Amino acid sequence: MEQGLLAPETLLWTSLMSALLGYGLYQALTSQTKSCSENRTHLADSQSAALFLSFTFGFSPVLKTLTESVSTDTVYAMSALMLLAHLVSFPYAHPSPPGSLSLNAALFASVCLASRLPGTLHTFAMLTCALLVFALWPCLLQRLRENAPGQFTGVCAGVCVGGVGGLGSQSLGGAVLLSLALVSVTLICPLLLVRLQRHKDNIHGPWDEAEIQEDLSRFLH
Amino acid sequence: MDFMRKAHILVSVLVDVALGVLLMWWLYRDDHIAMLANTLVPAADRVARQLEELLQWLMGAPAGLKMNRALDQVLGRFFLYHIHLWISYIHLMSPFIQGILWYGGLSACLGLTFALSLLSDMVALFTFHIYCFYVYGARLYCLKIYGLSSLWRLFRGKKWNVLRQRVDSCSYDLDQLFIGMLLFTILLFLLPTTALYYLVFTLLRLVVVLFQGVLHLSLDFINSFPLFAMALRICRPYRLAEGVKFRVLCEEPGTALHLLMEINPLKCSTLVQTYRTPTNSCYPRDSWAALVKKLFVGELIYPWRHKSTKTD
Repeated sequence: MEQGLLAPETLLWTSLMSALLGYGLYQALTSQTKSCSENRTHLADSQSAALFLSFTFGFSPVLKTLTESVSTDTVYAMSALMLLAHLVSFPYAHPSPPGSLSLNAALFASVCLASRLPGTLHTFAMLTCALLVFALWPCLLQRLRENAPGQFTGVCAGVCVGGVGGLGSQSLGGAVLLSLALVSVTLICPLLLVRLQRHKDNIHGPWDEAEIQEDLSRFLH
Repeated sequence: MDFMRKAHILVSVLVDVALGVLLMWWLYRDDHIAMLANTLVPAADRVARQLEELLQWLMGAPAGLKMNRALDQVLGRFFLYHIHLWISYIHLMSPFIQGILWYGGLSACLGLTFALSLLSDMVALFTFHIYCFYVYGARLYCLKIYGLSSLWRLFRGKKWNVLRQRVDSCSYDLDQLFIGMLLFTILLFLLPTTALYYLVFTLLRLVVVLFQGVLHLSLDFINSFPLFAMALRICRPYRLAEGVKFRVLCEEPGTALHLLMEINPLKCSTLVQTYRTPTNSCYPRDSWAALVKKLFVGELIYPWRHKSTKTD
């Protein structure tokens, strides 16, 4: 959007469409387990969505001029730091309600970056997109993992490829690094873990807890 | 001791009135009142114009600091309008100032201390707009700091537990997190601007408070200095005794020992300490550490605590 390649309206409509799609998928996956109290949650969900959209739209002019006086390098450094914090503090075990610190850090980084864009509608579109990616996508992924584990692997791989491809369109070196990192984290580290198991060595010594090895049945006579 | 106190009060009041009458005589001779009145309104004008220049300087990137332009303009315009109101008020009052000063000068016959306290009150009245600005800036800053600290706790996922008076972890809803995050970012980036305005107006207010403090201290000194005792010490030192001195007159083995007793007069420092009358003066309310902490957080500072209201 900064280079004028993508119009903000397109991004906006795309994100809204994908949000609706994701919501439909989410409901489809949940309805297999429990079917009551759905009407209430629909209303609450639409209320939350209306709240998000109105607040973001209302604050977009303010957010746009927020980092005007801060230099670009500082903004990039801050966003990088915050996204790193998001990665580090993400609750990988149960990502369904996303953790506070990780979500906050990600949103802070996206606000920093969004305030650098050239228009208010750009800011609004980027914030909606960021909200989708950071807040709602993990919930959908978690639901997918629970109910349809086969498709889960396919979706994950698709997301990885999409990320590498997107980065590759901007800078090739970054795409290479990202693919290397993904491959090493997903494939090589668990492989190492499994292969090095046989080299594991347990040393026994006087520091162990005492274990009774005698046959105590002679005391029962 | 009673006699000393009564004598001291009498002498104090007499000296005070004498000094006051002197001041009055100096004021009314050569039409000094009119001169004072004529210089007062232009002085107030000049102060207001300097404040305007200060605000213009603040509105445009002072000292290379980076401020948020929109908020800067809003605050600067608000304060400029306030100054404009103040100038109109001063111009409205200018015909009456001479009369007020004339009658105020008359009251100096009640004593120099009276005139000094009147001066202190007038200074407070004429710098009222600085006090107003300080209160606005402090309230804004205090609100911002409070909001920031609360939202910082939200950032980390914690909440202030009012029941237990400590910080606990809390699982927030998604929309609470989102809105809190937006507000936190906004408040954080607007902090330098508000902090600068607060700093400037606090410094101005502290200058005024300092000046008033000097006036009060001198008032206190005039009131409590033991003039009568000092005069007694100088003229008739044998009336105030600290102890006795013995001097041997003749020391012969056959006759009795003759000693001369002399009264040892009080030293001046002990005299001042003993006979100093406790006055209804004002003491600074907080120690330096508490003052600095209050300044940092943005609480309003009420610098003087009256001795009579110690029970609060």
